[in-house]
Amino acid sequence: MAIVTASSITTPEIIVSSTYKFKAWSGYCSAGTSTFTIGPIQCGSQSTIEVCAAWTHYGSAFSSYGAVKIGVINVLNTWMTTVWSSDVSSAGGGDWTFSVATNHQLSINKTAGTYAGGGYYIVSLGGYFW
Amino acid sequence: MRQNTIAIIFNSDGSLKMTTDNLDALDVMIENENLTVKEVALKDFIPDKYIYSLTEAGEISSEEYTLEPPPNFEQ
Repeated sequence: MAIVTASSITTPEIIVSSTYKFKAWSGYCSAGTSTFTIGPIQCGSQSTIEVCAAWTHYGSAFSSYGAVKIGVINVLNTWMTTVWSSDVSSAGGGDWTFSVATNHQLSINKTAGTYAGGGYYIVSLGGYFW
Repeated sequence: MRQNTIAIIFNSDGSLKMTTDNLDALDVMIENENLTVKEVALKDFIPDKYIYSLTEAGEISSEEYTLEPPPNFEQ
């Protein structure tokens, strides 16, 4: 496989308006047993952010081999409040967890399940980051 | 990262961890877990046909993989 050597890391965000920013990640998770962390992501004091995080194994039920969280987060320093319109975890696929550290640093974790198969994931954040 | 490329992230043992379309906010995990990142053309990553791993020489190897039907398919 040809490896592209001229890597350039960019910040993948769209500034929608003076106060609304959109960030997103997508790719392949090698297995339900895999874990990964996106973060820390700098938020502002009392940022309110729409969240969508999802993955599953090749068309399998999210409730058996994947995980989904869709909702809204509000962040302040190390505190966070959430409302989830969808909250699905599974033994096979694990879960998505969210945490904040000092100075409004948000992290998103895909936790481990038990299934060996992989699949694609998406994570998107949209809202007031300042 | 260019639009037609992705980053493949390998565990320290050379096994595939994940891919991503961008590396924003992934640097802490990459450093803490001693991961290796290789940027490749999107068209070269076909996980339903190949199993990817990183060789000791830093090259990406691929073995043929046969996708089995999902274990719990929902209409």
